[in-house]
Amino acid sequence: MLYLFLSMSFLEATSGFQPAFRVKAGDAYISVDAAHSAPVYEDLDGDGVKELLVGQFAQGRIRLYKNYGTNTEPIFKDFTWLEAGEQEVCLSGG
Amino acid sequence: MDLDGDGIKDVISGGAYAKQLTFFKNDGKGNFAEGVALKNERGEVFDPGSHANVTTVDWNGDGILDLVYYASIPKVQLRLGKGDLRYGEPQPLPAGGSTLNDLLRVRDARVVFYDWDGDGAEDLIFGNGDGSIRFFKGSRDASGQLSLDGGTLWLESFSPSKLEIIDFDRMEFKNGRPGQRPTITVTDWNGDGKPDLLVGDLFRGPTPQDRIAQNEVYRELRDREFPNLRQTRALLEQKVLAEMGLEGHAEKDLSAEQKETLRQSVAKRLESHPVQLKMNRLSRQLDEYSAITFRNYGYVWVILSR
Repeated sequence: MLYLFLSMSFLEATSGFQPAFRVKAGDAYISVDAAHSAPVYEDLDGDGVKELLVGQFAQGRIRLYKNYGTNTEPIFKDFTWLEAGEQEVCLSGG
Repeated sequence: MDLDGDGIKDVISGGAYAKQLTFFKNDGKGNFAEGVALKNERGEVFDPGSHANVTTVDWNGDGILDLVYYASIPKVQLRLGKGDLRYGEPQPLPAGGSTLNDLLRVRDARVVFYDWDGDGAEDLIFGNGDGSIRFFKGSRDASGQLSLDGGTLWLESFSPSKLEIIDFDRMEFKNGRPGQRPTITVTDWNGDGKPDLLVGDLFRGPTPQDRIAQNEVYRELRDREFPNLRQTRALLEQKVLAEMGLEGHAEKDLSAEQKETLRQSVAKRLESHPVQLKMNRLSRQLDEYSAITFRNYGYVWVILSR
């Protein structure tokens, strides 16, 4: 574990990235049932503020997190399931 | 991505067992039309393979977006766009004079194209199942054809070894650690004009909620129910000793036969005592939480560029 920590610290120091952090919705970290979330951060409703789309393996559904903050300081609270054709999207997940 | 070229961001998605890639057209106000399966040149819905995820790029420079997707089998594939949401036959994605599938041990991967270095050609950012993230520099020739180099390792693993979750540092990572199977997109998360990585991952183990609930049960047992049980046992012992005509006697002063009578009598009365029943229930809960070791879940991570 020490080796792992040291190697990751080295990689972070020598890469062009800052240490990773997790996205929260409200006070809790966004945690996706059965993973495979392929998140997307885009303005999909044309209001100039980006939303967060988060998929999940379970039931093949997609969460839509409204951004209550700004594009530079996003704030997420709750989510709705993404709908298409007035039905919740279900893409035959596990 | 804007798959139909109307200037509005749409959504396309694979699926674990969907057997198709699905296009959801956006009306620009966040209202999506019913999903449409993407088709081959013959107008047939094609099956990309299981656990597919998909991205787009104009690979051959003809002005039509092409599909690049990963599936469990046959790994990373390219289908050239033919217009009208129809696509050519699949081929392995070329990279480094070979194919990406031949260059790496590709498993549970995610690919995304983005002109990271700003040279006008999209680069490939590749998350592999082991948690590594690689960069394949893209360049375009005079005809606009995109090609990729052999790739550079960006991050061996992006997740910190210790997370700030209650008692998380005591968890055993025997079933994998956060950061596996990274599903990546590129975005400017903090608006500083530099592209950042937005990543979903997979982790096997108790969720933080499981762990918190387990700790609550453990604390209730340790701090309230065990002392209650000790007190109840002591009261019952005194009561049984009184019934045996031995009131005020300490256990060490009893004969072996008297000790056994006392033990059996107290145990029998405890069996149906509310304090013992609650202890049993909480202990079962603790066992159930302890048994949760293979729940799959994932976080959403941001990796900011320096």
